[in-house]
Amino acid sequence: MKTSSFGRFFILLAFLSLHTACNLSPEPLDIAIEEPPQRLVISSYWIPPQGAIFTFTRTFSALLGEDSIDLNDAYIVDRVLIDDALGIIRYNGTVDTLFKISPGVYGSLNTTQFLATDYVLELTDFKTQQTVRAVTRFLPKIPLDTLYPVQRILPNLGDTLFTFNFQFTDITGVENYYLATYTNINTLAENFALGGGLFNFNQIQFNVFSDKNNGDGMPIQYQPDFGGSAGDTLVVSLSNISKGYYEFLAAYKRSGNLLSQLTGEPVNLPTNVEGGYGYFALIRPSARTVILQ
Amino acid sequence: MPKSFLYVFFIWLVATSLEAQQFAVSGYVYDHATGETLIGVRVQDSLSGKSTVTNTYGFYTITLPSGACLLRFTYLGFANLTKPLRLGGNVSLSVRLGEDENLLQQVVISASGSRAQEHVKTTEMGKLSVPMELLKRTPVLFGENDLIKAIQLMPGVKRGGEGTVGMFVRGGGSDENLILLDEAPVYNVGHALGFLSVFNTNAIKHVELYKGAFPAQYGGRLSSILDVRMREGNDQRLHAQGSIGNIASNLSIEGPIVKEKGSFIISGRRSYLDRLVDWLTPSKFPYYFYDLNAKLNYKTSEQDRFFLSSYFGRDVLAANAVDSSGLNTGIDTRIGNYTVSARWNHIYPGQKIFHNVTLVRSQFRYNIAGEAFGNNILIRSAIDDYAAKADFDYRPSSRTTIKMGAALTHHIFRPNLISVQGDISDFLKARKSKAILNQEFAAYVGVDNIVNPRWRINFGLRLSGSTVERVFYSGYEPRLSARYQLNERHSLKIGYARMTQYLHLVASSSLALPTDLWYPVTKNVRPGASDQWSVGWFTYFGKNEAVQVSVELYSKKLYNMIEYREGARLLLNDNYEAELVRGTGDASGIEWMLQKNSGRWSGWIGYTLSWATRLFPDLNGGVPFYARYDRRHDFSIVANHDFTKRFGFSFAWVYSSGSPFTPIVSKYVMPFPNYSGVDLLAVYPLRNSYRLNASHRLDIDFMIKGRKRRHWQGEWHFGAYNFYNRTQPNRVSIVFDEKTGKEKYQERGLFGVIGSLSYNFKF
Repeated sequence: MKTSSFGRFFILLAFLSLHTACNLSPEPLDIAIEEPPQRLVISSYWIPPQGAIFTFTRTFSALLGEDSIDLNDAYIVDRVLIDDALGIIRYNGTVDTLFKISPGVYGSLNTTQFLATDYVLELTDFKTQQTVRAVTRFLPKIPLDTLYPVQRILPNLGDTLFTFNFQFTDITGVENYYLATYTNINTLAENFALGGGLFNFNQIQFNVFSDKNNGDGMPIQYQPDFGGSAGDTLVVSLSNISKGYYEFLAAYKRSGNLLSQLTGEPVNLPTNVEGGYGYFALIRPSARTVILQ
Repeated sequence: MPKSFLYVFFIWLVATSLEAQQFAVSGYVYDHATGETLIGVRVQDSLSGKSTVTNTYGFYTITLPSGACLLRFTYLGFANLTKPLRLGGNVSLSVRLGEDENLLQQVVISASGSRAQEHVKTTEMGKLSVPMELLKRTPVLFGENDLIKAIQLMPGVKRGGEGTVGMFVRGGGSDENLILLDEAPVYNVGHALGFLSVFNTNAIKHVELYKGAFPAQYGGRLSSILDVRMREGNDQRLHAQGSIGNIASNLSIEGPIVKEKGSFIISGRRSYLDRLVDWLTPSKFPYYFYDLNAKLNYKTSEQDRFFLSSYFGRDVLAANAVDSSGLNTGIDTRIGNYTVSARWNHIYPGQKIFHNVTLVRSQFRYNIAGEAFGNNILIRSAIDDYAAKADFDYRPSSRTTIKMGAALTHHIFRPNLISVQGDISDFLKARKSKAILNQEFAAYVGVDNIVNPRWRINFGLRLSGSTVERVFYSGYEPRLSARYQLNERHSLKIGYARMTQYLHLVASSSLALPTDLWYPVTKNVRPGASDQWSVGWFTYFGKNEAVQVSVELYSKKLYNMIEYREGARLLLNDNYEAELVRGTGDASGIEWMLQKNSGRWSGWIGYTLSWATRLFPDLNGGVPFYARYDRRHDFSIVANHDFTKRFGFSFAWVYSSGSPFTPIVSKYVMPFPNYSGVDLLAVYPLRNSYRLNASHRLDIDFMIKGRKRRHWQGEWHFGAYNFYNRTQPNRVSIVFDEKTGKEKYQERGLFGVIGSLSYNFKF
């Protein structure tokens, strides 16, 4: 009896001490982080035959709060989207001046494509008085021989999975890098509206790969998995991209993975924008419309 | 050149062996009460002044001139023993030192003095040797005595996350520490996700940590060697001791097999939060750990002694539930080490050569089994080591000790066996675990020579190698340390050591898990190497020579370091080599330590000022960056005070500068590559260019000994971890600040103040 009382007293004390620990969480400590100066960010998208669309934005503090980033908000527009800028493209002695489509979005309708020619983009932001510069080249278009999806059903998980089959012939003579993208027509308009809250864990639906393990100039078969739903209409494209853009996209894909963000190392994406971020690339995709069935 | 070197070495060896009319006295020194061998006992001839200390097996040998001698055995906490002898030949003399209650204070003072003299007279540097009694009094988390956490309070050793047992020694990584338990390597030293170490202090006799100037007999890791020796058990009478604590309890039983010839000890420990929660609440706590240490030893003659020791430990996390559709969801994780060491100690005729032959088996494995929605997954990894080694101590003269030996280890690595059933197999491919076989060998010779009263040198060479995938790597590891004695109380020392490491740990820098995988070197991953220089000043002072002080400066260069490339994916990655990048590291610092091992006040004060950087061409834009556990200042004070024989108080206060980290400082909006949406991308500053706040905390412990009874002795401990409830860095969060309307970075801890209560007993 005596032993039993002692035992229960001991257990009570042990529990009390653990209980104390649970209830006396120490006050968190603030960490001072200096806000770095804003830098300019460039991205580009080629629209055949002579069009191009650009986004020009600025970096912003990581402590602004992701939930508060509403690109329809005047404060955000003023701080993040470049509204008053001069953007020009130089190539083959030609200078194209970009026109503003909306805050942060600029375009060109007269940019002619020449292979093996440097395209130099210069952007001056009048608000911050910063100028950045980036250089890129058009690469040859890849004819897509065959493209079709194969559906696989996972009954217990209730999901469907598709495997795309790309078949095309590798370009001879150089090391080539390729980009495959999958654009869901149904959600394109919704996604591209730059409003609403943003978050970083979207499934990034593209693949990059190289011809490293393929014979030079030989046919390539590429079969990535794709998590879509039957009935979705997709525009699937294949593009030949530069090594620099491949490295940017490969790093982007790795950093966008939730598991990678939890367990991986910090990654700063490579850039070809001198003094800024983002990537200036002009690519010529081969595209097909595919209905997932 | 090597031939001429060997010739000179041989001449010198013969010359030192031919001191006329010298005889060896050798034997073991035991604890009279328990029969345990005593490590580091000073044995001195009071007439000639020559001295030695017992080695890690309690063996000593001393060469003395013929005629009369007066051997004096001194050891902290034990009564001095003096043995007069008249030498006319080699003598075997094993002695038993007893604890004398009446003389204890005087004895402690005397032994403290002899320990202080050894501190100044040896060539050893960067070595931490703290008495177990002092370690057991150090207050720590959950009231569980913890060997590694006590060592983390020493200069030159940095802690990992709050409460964890990760060690970062002199700018090295956590995988650069070789942890030996009775000479068997222990791969995973943490229980409970690393919050407790696997060492049960009631089963441990002696601990030494080498941080630099490594003797030639040690190798295999770049930054430290933690040599843990288990107790042998009482060879006089059956005896038990144990403790009941907040979260775990342990019990050790020991006794003679044949009195004064052989003994055993068996010591077990188990956590019981799962049982308590089960008993006191309707909830379940799905985790527990247990470990078991066992050791046998038997002396077949005065010259031969055999040991068999083993450790077995497991962490178990098992939970199960059935959902509404009747499908099982559960996890069953089992992680653990298993070691066995069989040793033979032998003294050769002539009493000058001692050998230890060891056979080792060490195993680490984890199994993770999961079940959800009709899918099953089993992930297993294992390391199996089989090793044989032989070590010889040869004492040709009173001034010279030669240590030589060789070791061969056969490693079998079976990383990441994955077995899957169900739809999950579409995402995760099952794969057989491909065994990676690897042989590692080493041979060494080290010489310790007293050149003259001022100069003493210790030099050696270790040759090591490893074969894997038909590739052979070798390491040439010279070792040197020298002491210059300024006077009786002061000496200067210098040390150099090259180390080679043939294994590495594949782990994420942001999560430290017991499931981190060890891999051998490969065709593409070369062995790591380090060169470390250190210089130091050693002295003792104070009443009864009780205070030892050391100041050491070190500079370390690390080669073939590996890190993970930016954005690396590690989990279940079977091509981890593709994620690795190679670079170098630099570490330097100054360590200051004041230690007092006797008297009413005992403990130590340690301070470290240090820098640790890494340079990887493929990381951080090729710019050097601070290592993850680079901390500029580290200060600790650990003190025990005995008010009376029954009441004592201990505290530990530690301060550390903030660790570096890499926050996201900016973000930017970026359209998807097909312009089908937008994403937010992060901008990081230079790697580890920001610092967390400095951390400090106070741990306390009160000890009340029960009245001594004939068959029972009890001891209560009441204490608190993090007594003033200061946040200890564990994780960084971004939170909304209502004052500014913006977000901010905040550092959060895992534990606040944690009370502890434990009861230790002996009978």
